[in-house]
Amino acid sequence: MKKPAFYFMLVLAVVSCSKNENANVQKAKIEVVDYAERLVTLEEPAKKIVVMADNAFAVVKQLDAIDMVIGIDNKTKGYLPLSIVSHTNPEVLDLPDVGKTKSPNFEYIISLAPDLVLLKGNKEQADTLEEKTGIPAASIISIDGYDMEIYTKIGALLGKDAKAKKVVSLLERKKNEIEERLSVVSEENRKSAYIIVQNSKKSLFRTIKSSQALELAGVNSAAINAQNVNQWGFADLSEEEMLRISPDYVYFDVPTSDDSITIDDIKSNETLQFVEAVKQGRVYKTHTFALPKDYIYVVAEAYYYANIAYPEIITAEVYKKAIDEIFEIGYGIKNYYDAWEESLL
Amino acid sequence: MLGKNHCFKILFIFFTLVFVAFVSIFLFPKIIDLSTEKVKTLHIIFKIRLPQTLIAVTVGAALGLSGAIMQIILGNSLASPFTLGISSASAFGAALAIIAGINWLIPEVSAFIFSMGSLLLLLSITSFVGMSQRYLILVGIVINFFFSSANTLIQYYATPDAVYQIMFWTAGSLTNARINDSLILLIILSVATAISALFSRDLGLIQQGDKNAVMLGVNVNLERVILLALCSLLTSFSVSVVGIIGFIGLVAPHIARMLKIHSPKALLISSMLLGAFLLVVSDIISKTVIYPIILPIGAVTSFLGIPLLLFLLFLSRKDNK
Repeated sequence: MKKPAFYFMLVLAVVSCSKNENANVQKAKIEVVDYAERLVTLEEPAKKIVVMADNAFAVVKQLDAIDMVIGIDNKTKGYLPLSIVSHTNPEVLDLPDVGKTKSPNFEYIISLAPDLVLLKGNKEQADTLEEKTGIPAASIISIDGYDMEIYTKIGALLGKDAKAKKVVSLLERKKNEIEERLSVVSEENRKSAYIIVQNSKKSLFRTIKSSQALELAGVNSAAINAQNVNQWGFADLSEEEMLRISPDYVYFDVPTSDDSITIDDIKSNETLQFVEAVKQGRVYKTHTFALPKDYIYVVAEAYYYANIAYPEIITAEVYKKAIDEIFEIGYGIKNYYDAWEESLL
Repeated sequence: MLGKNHCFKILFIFFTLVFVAFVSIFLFPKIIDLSTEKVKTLHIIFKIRLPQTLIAVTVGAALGLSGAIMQIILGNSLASPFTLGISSASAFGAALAIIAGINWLIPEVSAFIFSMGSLLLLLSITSFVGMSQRYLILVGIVINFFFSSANTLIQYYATPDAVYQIMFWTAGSLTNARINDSLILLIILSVATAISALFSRDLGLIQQGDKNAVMLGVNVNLERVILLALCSLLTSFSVSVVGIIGFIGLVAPHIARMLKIHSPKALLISSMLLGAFLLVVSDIISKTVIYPIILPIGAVTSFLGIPLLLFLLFLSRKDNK
């Protein structure tokens, strides 16, 4: 008689324990303050998401959550062919388009039944989206500087906190490493670079005033004193201004179409022929500045620039190791260095 | 009193509008699936489709009514709610709010303030030079060009994202509308309809020429100011809610006239209903053509309105022969 009673008590204990666990799980809501200072609350980590924030798409991939994405906005879809994610996960090219962030198709979003929408929009837009669809929406807006919170916020919403910590830790470690190595370069010995951005329809004189990757690489932007600069940091130089600055290196975005600027356009330009870096053939490709900011690329490009500018400090070995490590943790691609280099040829 | 013939035509337009509005709610962009859970179906109807259709009806009616009033008081069949610079002033207001990024100054409020401001500017200038139809139109064109140039200038220095937002705002959209917006506009529209009906006799006299109206005891200048203010209020509120939607105010009165509706009261009511009808149809097209993408409503109204107007012109030419 004792045994059955014991087993009964044991089963009862297990059941009551498991009930308590469930109760705890139910209580453990996810609460994240988004970029519009709104409190986004989820009962459990989102499993199906619609990404309407071009700046969040790469982050979602880096958090190993790309399979959760069931829909994207029109702008993010437009960027896909240029993004590395379309190579690692070609299925994203078939993701349904839910419309523009400013005019989403609410009914279509409802029909996809996501648990969460990541929206690049302000409080009003996020509130409207929630009201119209009844689906939680988190405002994800890019802010200046190294915004590592984008990983922790999205990580918390998707139940990918551990991966978010790993990516942030990698980025900070690699950032600290390059900064430490380059600390020996004095201010007067810093090199300078001029970057031609591709979103200019053959204009070779549209550049960026400053770049996080260049700064991290200890390279000055040659256009740092440009006057005609918009809030996005794009600067339009006059040809005279171009001749006054004397960059050590010229970079241009990787061409992506027949209309893109090519190395021949740069070499054959009448004004740029007077620039020493062009004369000496110090013209290199860089990854596109027309794409939304991706910190994996910011840090990887910093190693690339630094290897060109200070090869004795950021040696080929250090550079290769950094690229391999960054892309393995960030994008899950092992030994990416060769493909990276090939893309820059 | 409206004649029997006019009454019949107006009722026909009204019932067509009601029919199209119901069709829009239940059939477009996809047929409402009644087999899915009731809560979801009700949510789609009451949170998405009904507000969108209601705003299409009220904004279309507001633009149609103000178009008809403007064409009568300015004595110009090319006049529309946007002739006197209201649209460019509101676009400038919205652009300024977007670029300035001030929290309390949202584009909708700024657009409304600037469009009402443009009316004050128009009235101030014309009070000096004279409030004739000719001067009103000329000063309106000047204001239009001023705000368009100012808009171009601030966009030149705006960020690509801000330019995208401005472009989006000016292209017009019904998707974010709420029922409250429609209710407010409905109140304004009811008051405007009542006031314009009160002035309909005088509008008929103004239609025959200012001198004639003055001789028959109409205070033309005062009535012009009142009705201009009414049109501006209707247009400003519409624009501040849905952005710039062109062509409705121009084409709706023309369609009414081509349906042989000429008496001012009947013209105002039928233009209002036709404006609503045109915008509901445009809304159906905008959300259906390349589903799930929603086309900018302002572009659709023009694409729909232009061939419609040309077709009706062709028909009326045939009738005249």
